[in-house]
Amino acid sequence: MSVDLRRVGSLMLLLMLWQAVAITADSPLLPDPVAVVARMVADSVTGELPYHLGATLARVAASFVLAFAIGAAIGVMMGRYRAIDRVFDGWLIFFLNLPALVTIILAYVWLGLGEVAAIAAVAINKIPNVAATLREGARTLDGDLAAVAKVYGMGRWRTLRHVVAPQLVPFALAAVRTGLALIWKIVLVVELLGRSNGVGFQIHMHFQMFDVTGLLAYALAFILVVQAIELFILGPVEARLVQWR
Amino acid sequence: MSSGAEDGLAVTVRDKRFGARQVIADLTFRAAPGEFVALVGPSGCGKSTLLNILAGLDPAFEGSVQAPPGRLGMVFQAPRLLPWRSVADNLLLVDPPGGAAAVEDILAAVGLAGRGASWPNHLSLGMQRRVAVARAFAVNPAVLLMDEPFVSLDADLAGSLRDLLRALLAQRPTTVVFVTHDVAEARDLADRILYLAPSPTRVEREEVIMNRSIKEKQAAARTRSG
Repeated sequence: MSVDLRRVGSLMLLLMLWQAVAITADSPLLPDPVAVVARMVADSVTGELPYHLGATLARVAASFVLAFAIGAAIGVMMGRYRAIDRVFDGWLIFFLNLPALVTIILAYVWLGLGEVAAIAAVAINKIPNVAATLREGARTLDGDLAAVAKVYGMGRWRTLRHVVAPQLVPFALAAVRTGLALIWKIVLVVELLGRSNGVGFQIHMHFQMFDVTGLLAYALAFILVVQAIELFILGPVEARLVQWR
Repeated sequence: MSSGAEDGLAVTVRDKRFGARQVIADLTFRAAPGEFVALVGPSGCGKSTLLNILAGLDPAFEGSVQAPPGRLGMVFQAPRLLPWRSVADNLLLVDPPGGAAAVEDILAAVGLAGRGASWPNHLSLGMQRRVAVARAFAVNPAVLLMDEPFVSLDADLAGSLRDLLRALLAQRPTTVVFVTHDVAEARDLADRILYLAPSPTRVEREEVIMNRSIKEKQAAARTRSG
């Protein structure tokens, strides 16, 4: 894994800028980076931050798996079968444009302020995205390779695993990337509106207390976790999947 | 494979249409076990359509295809390897009788010993075609279908691949249907040539080439003198 020095430099610049503005402003409403990091460490020691971060991560994971499984199935079916595509294309456009906030409120209204509603709301927001991306992938599947699989009697499962799935990998990775970015943000709104734990809930609490240091500490912890997932999970998985190029 | 005449390939395509247009009409031919039949015709005369019917890829036609018991091998115009699987995995995925050992054997037989771990797109096009040929032979096919497998290669490379095919067939005899638009290539390889006429495709005339044992001796002589 190579560390890009320019990237490190640009992050350092951002930190320095933040520090400079904080010193100039000299206000409790804009703490400097050191105070925020100190708060992150302090809240980690008490276990408060890991608890809320864990709750958020669990919601992200659950809704992500749900959205991906359902969205991929819908997308591949729509990409493969023109009739299904025609029927559901309008639905897809409808749900792609439905504001996340509306889905969340409706889920809470209809399903109650519970975990099921929270995860369902996030998943519903993401499903059309995954479906649209994988539909593109399924549309470009190579008929020539499918013919090879058929002639040599590869069977359904083997064909799916070795012929179809590898062609969908780039699309699935794109859906995972945009999916994580989107789901993180929606989960925070869901927590802010109707849960009593998680990073979104904590940000809401800190907002009511005007505790900007706490707010930024949670936001920063959150960014660090997303970057860690990108660096230690998605990056290596992608490198492995496309090594044949 | 037993050599009873009933084990050969018998093809009858009475009618094949794309929409209202008839593309094949009353086309009938047989291939005896171990026979090498070449189908020769101009480009776009429905040869690939016919081969897709033989391969079972296109069931929408009137007629019948009786193949001897056993598996089917097919070499396409493009190598059609899975780029995300290694050369050896490409062969293993077609479930060759004899497994990994058989894969090594056939790779050696096509001159690719030790290349099993390579990615297909790291090989030259000529090598990829050898892999495609190896994949077809790996299943010990009862029938081998070849759809202009050596098209768009330079003359030397095409010639060496024809020699390779002859050598493989000497070791692993099977019934072959070989589609080409190149009469010289057909005469070089086949026991019998069926000339196809287009729109709708039908057999125009037949040419029996000298038998293979003579051809093999000639090829061997060429190899010695070259």
